[in-house]
Amino acid sequence: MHEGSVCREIVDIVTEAAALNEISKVYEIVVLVGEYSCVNESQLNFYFDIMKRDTCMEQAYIRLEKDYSITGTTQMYVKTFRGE
Amino acid sequence: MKTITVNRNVLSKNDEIAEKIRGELAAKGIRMINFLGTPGSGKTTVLENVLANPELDKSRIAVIEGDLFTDLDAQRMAEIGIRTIQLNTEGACHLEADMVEKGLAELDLDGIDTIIVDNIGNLVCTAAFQIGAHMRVCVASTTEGNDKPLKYPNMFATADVVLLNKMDLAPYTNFDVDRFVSDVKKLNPNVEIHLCTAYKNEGLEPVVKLFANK
Repeated sequence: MHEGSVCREIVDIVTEAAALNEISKVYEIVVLVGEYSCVNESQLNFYFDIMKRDTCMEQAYIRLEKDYSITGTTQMYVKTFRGE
Repeated sequence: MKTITVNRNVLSKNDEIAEKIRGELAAKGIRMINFLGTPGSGKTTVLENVLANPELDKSRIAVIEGDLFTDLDAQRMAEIGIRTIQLNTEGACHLEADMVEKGLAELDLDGIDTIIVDNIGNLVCTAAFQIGAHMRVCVASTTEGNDKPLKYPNMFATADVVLLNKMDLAPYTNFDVDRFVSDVKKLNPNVEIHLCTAYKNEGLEPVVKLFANK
């Protein structure tokens, strides 16, 4: 339900990290989520397809990786991304 | 092709603002309580009845009302003489830390030591977003069904206090109070659970005490 806000943050984090690492094309973003993150991969990518336009992520998608050891209020981490 | 490791909390921008709010309020001797729960569970009715209690000094408590639309809840607070501001998200299903920060800037905090944020009715998104509060109170009710803790675990796992409201209606529903309590405890062993009927002002003493104690 809050995928829009989550997606906006992912785009900002990856934009910053890509610039820092001189990456101009991002292909895959891996987001680590806890069991209770309440974030849905297809909804997240629905927002992402709109927000990634005219960014270095134009050809990218977001893949969620579940990690049940994550507990508490912080349930989502941008883990890695692949690019060149 | 390179793989870049980031390992950054997706909501770090929100959480940093929340952390800043939490610290700044604590430095002023103010604690903030995040009131959460389903739409219609009775969050505002609990607040209305608790805040009207003569044991509480109303001049030291302020309320931030969060809703998608209308200032109906702020009007209810104003009627009982509570300093209030209304935040309207116009569609967003939860309050975020930066909205609360703006609200706090508008609020006259002179003499205030307790701020209550009456959050948007929602069991999903509101649990994911920190707003800088020092405590979470979740209001559930017997008309919602006792299966909600297991269906919305993050809400119940992160609450400090759970109020089960509308106990007067429990005999007319199939709500299993014992099951509800044991499911909440399973998710969150340290949580305080209290049963109440807010509009009749029954069972609200623990909340009065919570607001009265610094």
